[in-house]
Parts: sequence; C-alpha cells; structure tokens
Amino acid sequence: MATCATWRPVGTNAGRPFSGDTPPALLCLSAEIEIVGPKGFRRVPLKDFYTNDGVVRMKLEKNEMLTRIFLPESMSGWQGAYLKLRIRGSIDYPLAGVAVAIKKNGVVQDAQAAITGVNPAPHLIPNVADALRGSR
Amino acid sequence: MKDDAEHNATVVGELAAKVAKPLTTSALTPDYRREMIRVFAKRAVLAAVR
Repeated sequence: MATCATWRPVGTNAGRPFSGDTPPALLCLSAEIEIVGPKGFRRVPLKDFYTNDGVVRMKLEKNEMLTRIFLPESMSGWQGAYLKLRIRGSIDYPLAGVAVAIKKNGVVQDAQAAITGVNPAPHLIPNVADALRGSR
Repeated sequence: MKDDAEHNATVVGELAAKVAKPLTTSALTPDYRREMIRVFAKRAVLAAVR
C-alpha cells in the first residue's frame, strides 16, 4: 500500500514495535518451535515465545537457537490471508499487519487472526473463531 | 450471506483494533496504524473466506 510517511523520532528499544511478517501467520496456524541449547532441546508454542517487551523480545537465551518450526497436522487445509501496511511497495517491514487463517467446509468452522507491527510482540486476536464460525 | 460475511469481518476488525496498542516509535501515527489494523483485519477475513 502506497502512503505518505512522516517519521517520528525513534526512541529506545523499549518502545519498538515488533516488525515481522511470518510470526502472525504462524501464530494463526498454532505453530510450535524447537529451541536447541546446552541443556538440549525444548519445544514451545510460538504464542508463548514472545515477551511483549521491546528490550527482551523473546524467551531465548544467548546460547540457544531456534532450529525447527512445527505446524500441527490438524491445520492442514486451512486457508488464509495476510495484509500489511508498509511505506515502500517493495520489500519493507510492516507498520501494521494482520494474518487470518480459516478452516472452511462450506461455512467457517474455525478461525484465528493475529496482528504485527504495532505492539512489541505479535498477538493472536481473541474470540475470532466465535465471530466467524458459520460465515460463508 | 454477503452481508453476514461483511458483518462478521467487521467484528473481527474491531477485535483486532482493541488488541492493537501502536507504539509511537515508528513511522505514521499510532491512531492511523490502529485504524489500518481494523481495516486490514476486515479485508483479510473477507479474502480468506472467499
């Protein structure tokens, strides 16, 4: 989306919004991640990985790394969309983004949505399934 | 049914805007970005459903 931009002064790390495109889509698909470190492997839901803190954004130690992303088999067949606001038409960070994933068989049976680019972390939107269930 | 889908997508837009707490340390104003979250959530729902 083309738009005019006015840059505001950039503050401290504590106030920076999260700026990733993929995590909101993965949140919608109930992704889990595998983290490897000196203590071995651990697997955590992606929704529990972010802190909503602009300084320490992720629950990841300095000697750990993310090695794999898992999508539940139950999410197979879900369909989705992702829209984002950005200044440049080519590659650019999202200033506001929304991912939506829907399980549909004639009517919507289940749904999830997540936002990015505004808060310090990507967030799932609560009650989306209740709002969309039964929609055509 | 189209109206039903529009209405439900609008509701999701409102839900998304409630969760959005845009910080000031980014381009464009927080109010504008929250509004775009509302608009994009509605559009994304309609795109995903169709």
